[in-house]
Amino acid sequence: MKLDRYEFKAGDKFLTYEFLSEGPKGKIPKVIQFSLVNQASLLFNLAFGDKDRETGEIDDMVITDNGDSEKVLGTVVAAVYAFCDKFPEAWIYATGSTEARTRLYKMGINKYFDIVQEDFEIFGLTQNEWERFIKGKNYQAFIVQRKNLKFNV
Amino acid sequence: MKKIVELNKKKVPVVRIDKSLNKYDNVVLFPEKVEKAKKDFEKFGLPDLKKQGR
Repeated sequence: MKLDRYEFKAGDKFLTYEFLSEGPKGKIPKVIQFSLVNQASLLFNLAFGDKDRETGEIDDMVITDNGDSEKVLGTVVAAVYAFCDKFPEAWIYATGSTEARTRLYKMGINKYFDIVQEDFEIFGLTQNEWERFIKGKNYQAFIVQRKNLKFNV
Repeated sequence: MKKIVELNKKKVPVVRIDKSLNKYDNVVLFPEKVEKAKKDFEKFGLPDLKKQGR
């Protein structure tokens, strides 16, 4: 299975990414950002939202309804791969701006689970603790870390 | 002789650099989510990979 995704651009530090969502509502710029949460643990928050073409403001609450949510999530997954190529030890935390958005994230992980579980440790946050992600289960938040793909032969 | 092998490189997309995005690097675009991440980190920490049977 291949990731259906948009092409995207990144800043020099690979912390910020931008791509264009294309659909019935037109071309909508979206920005993905990885923000440092805890330096010692190399924990980053992953979030994304729409960029207003006129003001440049970023909004993660807007409902774009551009008919391409799966492709958008595929693009976010691709950005995670790109980010982890630069920061292979990083932990990446993500949660939705609403419960519905968090469920959308879960759906995205479910859809691409077979691809990403080969390369990432994936956990979901229950009421009490982190547990390994179980397909179909609802979580408050998610956290992933790139598996160590380097070994000596 | 030892050498390093990296797997799954092909899944890492080729990324075009756009320096105009650098202006966001020192700006937290999603402060509420970062705040929630901090709270969850303080409360739950990180997953324990050893306990989770990696």
